[in-house]
Amino acid sequence: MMTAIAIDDEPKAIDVIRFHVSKIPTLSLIAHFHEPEEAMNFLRSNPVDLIFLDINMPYFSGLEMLQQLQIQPNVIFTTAYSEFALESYDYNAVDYLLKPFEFDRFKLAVDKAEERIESQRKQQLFFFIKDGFKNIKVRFDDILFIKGSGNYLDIQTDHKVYSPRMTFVEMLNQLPPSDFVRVHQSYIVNIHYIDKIEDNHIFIGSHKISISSSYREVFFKRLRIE
Amino acid sequence: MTAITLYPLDKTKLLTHISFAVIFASIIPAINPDFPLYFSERIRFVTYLALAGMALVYIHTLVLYPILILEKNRRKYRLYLFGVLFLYLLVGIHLGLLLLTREGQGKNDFLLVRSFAPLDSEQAIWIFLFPLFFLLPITFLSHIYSLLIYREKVLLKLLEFIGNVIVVFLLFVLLAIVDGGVMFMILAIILAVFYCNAFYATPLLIDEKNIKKYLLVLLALCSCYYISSITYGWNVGAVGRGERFVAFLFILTGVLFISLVLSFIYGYIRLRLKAKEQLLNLKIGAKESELKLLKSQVNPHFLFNALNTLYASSIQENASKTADSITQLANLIRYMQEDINKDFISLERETKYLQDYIKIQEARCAIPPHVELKFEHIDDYQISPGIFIPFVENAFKYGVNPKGESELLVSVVCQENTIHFECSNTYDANFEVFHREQGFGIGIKNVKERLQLVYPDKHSIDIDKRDDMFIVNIKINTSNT
Repeated sequence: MMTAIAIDDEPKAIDVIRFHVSKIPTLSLIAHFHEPEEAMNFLRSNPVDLIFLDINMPYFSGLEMLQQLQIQPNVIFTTAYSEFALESYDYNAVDYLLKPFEFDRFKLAVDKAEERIESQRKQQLFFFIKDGFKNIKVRFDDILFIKGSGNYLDIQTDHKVYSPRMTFVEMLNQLPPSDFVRVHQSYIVNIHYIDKIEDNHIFIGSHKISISSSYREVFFKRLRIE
Repeated sequence: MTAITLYPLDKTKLLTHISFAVIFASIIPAINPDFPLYFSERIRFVTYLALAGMALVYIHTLVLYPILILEKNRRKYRLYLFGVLFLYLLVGIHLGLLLLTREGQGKNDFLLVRSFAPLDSEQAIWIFLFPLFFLLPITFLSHIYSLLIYREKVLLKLLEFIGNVIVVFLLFVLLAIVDGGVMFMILAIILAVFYCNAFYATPLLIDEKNIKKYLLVLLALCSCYYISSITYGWNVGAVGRGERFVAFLFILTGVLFISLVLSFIYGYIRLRLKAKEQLLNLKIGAKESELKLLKSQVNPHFLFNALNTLYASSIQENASKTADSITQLANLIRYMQEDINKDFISLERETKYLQDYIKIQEARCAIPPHVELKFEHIDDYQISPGIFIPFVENAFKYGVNPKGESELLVSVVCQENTIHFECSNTYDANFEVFHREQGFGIGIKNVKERLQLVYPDKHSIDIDKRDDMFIVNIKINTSNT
């Protein structure tokens, strides 16, 4: 399962992407934006696997946006301008779609992205956290959820809680976006361990985590719950 | 190839070059010792050097200069130039060695020498310096020649400069012959006045219409002229007292008057020519911006974004056929706007355009033709764009009857570096034109020319009309391209 967002100043262009995405079951479009700034704010707290990005927008071009992002996301450019194709390689773009693009071409690009994301995922199954003087290996798929508290985090695994000194955003940028989702100002959950969702609360085993209203919409879209 | 694209040969140019070549070729037997005309060995040495120099001029103009202009690769140009010059020096030194070691030894063909006698230091210096000295006029000449061929505007300025230098030189020589150089200084002063008036004062009057400043400059020039020439004349003793002084002043004034008039005419003509050129440039600039405006009126980005909007609407309305047609049309427009101007595109893209074109044309027919498409092993091949499309276009134009049954087969099959294109369609003997519009307008004649240009001796084209079928076969060998 991959998560994606789309950025384009023209609503109809977003409609095309939404339509194509709806035909691909392994891809979910969790948000779309008409302005790059909004997208950048969103990305700060919600990392995604893939971005569909228009280049030529009124105030802020797609390329400028990529320059300002601290992470290097997987990007598929969607534009009417063929002359940026060469430049797009500098941004390690997955593909370059020329508008209007039909579904077959779109699917080809998404397949390419899927391949790349899959290999990135294989490279990154775990990470290390500092605990006092020790570096401890934590596998991503052991993590149930992560709670932020000030400058510390509580990383809850099946049997243990790790509390490294780390900020929430630092943590967020390391996690594979396809498995983890932010549900609250200070909670990230691993979607594979969610047992049930009831009245704005997520239950993972014996833990009860509340969903804040600002993350609710994206979270439900992410899980494809209407 | 590169030089020819820059400097297309016509008959007169070709004739000039051939006659030059004949003249050079005729020099070679003339300097042969067996030929009736006998030249001394030194003259033959110089002639050989000059011949090598001419070869250098041609190499520079036809091979090296295009590197500078076409590829804009200054480093490569310089590297090659130094290589060629160095080679020339080596040849010159070698010839010199051959000559000197044999001079005065009886046998009069120095080229036949196989062993060298030791040289003294004076000879050695002579051998090195002589070809080096020769290099100067040769590089100068080859540069002028290249400019003459490729850049006429720069040349005009250069010619003006050289003309001035020659005239000034001749004046000094003339003066040297007439009075042995006593009046050199006066001539220099007159020339200074001449050029100041032509290049500085005259534009003040004509371009800026600043009469006050012009008169002021003229006054300053004249007073400088009188003061310096009289002082100088006094010092050399050319000026006497009384009547002789008046006569000297009289001559001085006459010369000044002539030089002022001549320089005014010269400056005036220069300004007129310059103004004319500027006007021409302006006109060209206006034409260019007009063209740009025209182009921007059909801004492709606007078009593609608009088509994308239409595409979105058509999928929202569940009109999938419309949606498909819109992307096909967009692809074709992109092809016409961008790809058709490239040297090569991938064969895959070219065949994609063929398909899009056929689909769009099919949609226009009341009874669509029976179409068969075959594309095999087309990956990894490149092709010059626009070669196949005219035939498919013609098939729809003449062959496909929108109101009746017709057939069209298009196949592109690649095998062992060969692209094989076949287009066959039913063909009405009555030669009725069904679709009259121009379409891509490339035309079969242009396709043949393009094939000849891009794939010389590497293609075959075969057009066959038999019974009710029209069959086109093109084979292109893509190796080494």
